[in-house]
Amino acid sequence: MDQKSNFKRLFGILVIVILIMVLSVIVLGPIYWILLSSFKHARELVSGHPGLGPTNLTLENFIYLFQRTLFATYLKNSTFVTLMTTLISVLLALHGAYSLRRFNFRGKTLIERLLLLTYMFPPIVLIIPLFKVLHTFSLINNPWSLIIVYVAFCAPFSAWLLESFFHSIPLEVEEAALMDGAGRLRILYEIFLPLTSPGLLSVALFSIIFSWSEYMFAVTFLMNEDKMTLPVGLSHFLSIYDINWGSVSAGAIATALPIAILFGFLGRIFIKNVTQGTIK
Amino acid sequence: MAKLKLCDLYKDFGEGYVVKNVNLEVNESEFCVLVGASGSGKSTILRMIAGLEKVTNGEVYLDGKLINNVPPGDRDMAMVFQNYALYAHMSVANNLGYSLKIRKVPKQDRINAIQAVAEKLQIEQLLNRRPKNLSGGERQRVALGRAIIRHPKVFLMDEPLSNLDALLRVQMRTEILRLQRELKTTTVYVTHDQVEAMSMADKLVLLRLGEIEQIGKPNEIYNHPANRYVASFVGTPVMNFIEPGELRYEDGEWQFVNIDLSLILPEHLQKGLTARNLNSDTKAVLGVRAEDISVGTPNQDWNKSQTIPGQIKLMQNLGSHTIAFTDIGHQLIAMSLDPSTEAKESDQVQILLDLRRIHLFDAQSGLAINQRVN
Repeated sequence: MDQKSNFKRLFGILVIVILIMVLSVIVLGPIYWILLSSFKHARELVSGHPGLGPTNLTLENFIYLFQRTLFATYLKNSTFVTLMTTLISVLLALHGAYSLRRFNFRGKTLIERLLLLTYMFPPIVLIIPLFKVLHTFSLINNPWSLIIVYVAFCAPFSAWLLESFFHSIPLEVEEAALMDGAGRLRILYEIFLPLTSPGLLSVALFSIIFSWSEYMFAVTFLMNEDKMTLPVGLSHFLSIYDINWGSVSAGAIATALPIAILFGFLGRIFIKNVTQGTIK
Repeated sequence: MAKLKLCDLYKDFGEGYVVKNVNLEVNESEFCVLVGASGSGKSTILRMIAGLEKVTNGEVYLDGKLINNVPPGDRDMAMVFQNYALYAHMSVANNLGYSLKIRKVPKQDRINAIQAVAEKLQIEQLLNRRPKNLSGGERQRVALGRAIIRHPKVFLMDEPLSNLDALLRVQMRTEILRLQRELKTTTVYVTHDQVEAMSMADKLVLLRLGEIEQIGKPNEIYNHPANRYVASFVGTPVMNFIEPGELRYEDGEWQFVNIDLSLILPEHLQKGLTARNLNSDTKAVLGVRAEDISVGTPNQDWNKSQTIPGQIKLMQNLGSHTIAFTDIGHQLIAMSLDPSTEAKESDQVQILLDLRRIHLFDAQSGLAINQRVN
């Protein structure tokens, strides 16, 4: 009897392990392949028999990427757009969320509902109106066009998320600070900010990931190669006449790396906060 | 030391008044306790004094100066909250010193003040800890420290002990009193616990549905409750009420008559009732506290016309005394007995009310008709 149930248990574990392995191959396989391709000679990649293992590795794709393409420019543009978007979004969200949480004013509920309205529309629907507006202000082909649009997408959600973080701070803590003689801004920066730093981090990460990887608005609003961000620039490596798989792979790896590192550091906090938000 | 005065205070959150017509003076160094059930408006009054809540109508004066529109931070009052409201990201020392930092007190003076307060409250060893690593009692000490560090004119305390367990609550009660006596700071203290209120107050303010029912010293309120609500709120066990009944004038004497008993009222009440020009048959309620009832065996030599026969239904031994319950008619009456009593549950007894210490209330308005002598 015992042996039979033991066998059943082992069999169950085996099935689960196999399933996990299959899933891992599906998920991690392409990443492994891109990583491998980025370190292989272009000739080997198109030879029809590229090796599956890490043999004949070279840095030539990366050298090519940084010396012969505009990758460094794309990187610089993306970094600028991402940093500005994140900074502005977090600042707007912080003050907005605090106002919504602590002040009662006419139209407060309406504003709270409108916050999430932006996300009811598929972005593609907004692209033509946005283009027209940006064109009116001569912002097409200007990185600020992306920053404005990205902030419009990130700040409301961030404010909504931060407001729920603010809910976890008891009203009395703020009142204690008021009694201690602190003004509203001091309370926001010295009490709320440190107490909700995990929330701010989550919000910042959201903005960073969004603006780093956004493609559709970027490809629409930016025309000149020297203005392009990474996702758009990378797509230019693929043309109908020629695909340089080595530099495409190297570009993809170099694009994903900063985010991967950031997520590695902050991801734990982010995940913890997402679950924390759901329970509270 | 400061004097606080509330004049015709009203508060409306948009759904009718939650505080009505509150007039109160808190003198210098006085420990004033606002007590009442939940919804009585006691915390709202405290918050209006603090400036955390806008006054709908009326005036708040501090040392004769109108402070209705003075922001909380400029009122020179310190508040202790029920949930302590400590700054979770700051050490105990920084929690204590935050108000001084805001007031730009030089660093060395700040450190000295923190040290002095920590010594006073015996929390020196906690100064580097964060609030989350403190026990409830320690947190409460830090919250108190934060209030006393800047020597405010007034302490405001909003149920500061209700999150603590019973034993600690009694300890902290003594500690708060000791501190207040030492610092002589005018204090307004809010609680729903009448024992806490009675034991701490110089001046007790009993509130109900946003209005003051009675203001007085604790023993005044205990011995001379202005109405039935006050009588039932103050004291443990709750005052016994015998009703319905009426005050009847017969043969030149006032009597309290009820379906179960008929008592000739004592002399001081006779005079008072006659002087009041009451109608005979005025509907009334008789109130008597548990400690003002004596219990005897059925053969005890008492004036049978003034005793009530009964049976002990239930006994609760509280150590210092025993509470016995009996029925008079359909009403359960609590009596306080000596713990050495030989009475047992289901014993037949006779009950004697100390008529000098009974209370009479108008059955309709609940107001005290005549008050007892001490």
